[in-house]
Amino acid sequence: MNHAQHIEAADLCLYHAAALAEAGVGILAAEAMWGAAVHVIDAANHARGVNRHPGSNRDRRSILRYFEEKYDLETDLTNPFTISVLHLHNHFYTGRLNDAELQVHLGTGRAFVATMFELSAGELASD
Amino acid sequence: MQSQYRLHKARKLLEAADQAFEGDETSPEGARLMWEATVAALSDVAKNRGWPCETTDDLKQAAQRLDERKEGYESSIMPYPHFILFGTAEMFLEQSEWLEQSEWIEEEGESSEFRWEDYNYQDGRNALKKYLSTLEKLAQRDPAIR
Repeated sequence: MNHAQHIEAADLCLYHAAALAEAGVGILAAEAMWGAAVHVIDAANHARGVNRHPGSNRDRRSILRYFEEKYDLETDLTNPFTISVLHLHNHFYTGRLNDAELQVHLGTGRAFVATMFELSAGELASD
Repeated sequence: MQSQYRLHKARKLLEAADQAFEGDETSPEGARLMWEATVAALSDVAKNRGWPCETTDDLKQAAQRLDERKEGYESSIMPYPHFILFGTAEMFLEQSEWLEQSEWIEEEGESSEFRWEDYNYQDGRNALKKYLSTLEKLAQRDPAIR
């Protein structure tokens, strides 16, 4: 997949996450948000000129570290991904989050994906 | 005096966690101590303000109240930092409980969907250390312990 395809997939996942949450299907909404986060990170990786697909979430964490260092964001990207988005991914398997927790993590997921969309676009524009 | 004792308790628990992680970076004991240190520090802030802090749900509500006021994270680009960081501590507790259930590890092997990677521990520990400093500052500026 190239940058545009990852962005399209992230957008689609984000749309479905919102629709599924609205319909009360929390488990699938959580996994859709996880998908949006993964695709937007992979898109940002392409945007910085690295076309190799990240082999693991450890690689994705390194990509986030790159953006944190470049934009002086401390851990504003890695924490939401390795903590909140991971909570959502685990929820798909365990259903352990209650409604309030799910909403908070979905909210963080939305903010994370929106930030990565911006950083990805900025990276392309700076080429 | 009570509040100062609780602050001291959180710091001691954090030091004990560091010691536990020295020999084993995925130490179940260290993970449990990270949880206990966070509970002590957040309870301290909640108690100073007269908020309930007896249960995990009480503490989650305290975290949400701090998020509503954006206290300690005025410039964060992410919403709900307190709730997320308290969730990190909760994940440490889950990892600790999971690792202590050794029969699961034997059945499922070393890798599992739920087992944290080493970087999860590193990120989580760094994040919670900063979080405890933030909570300590919030507790110190509350009138109850001035």
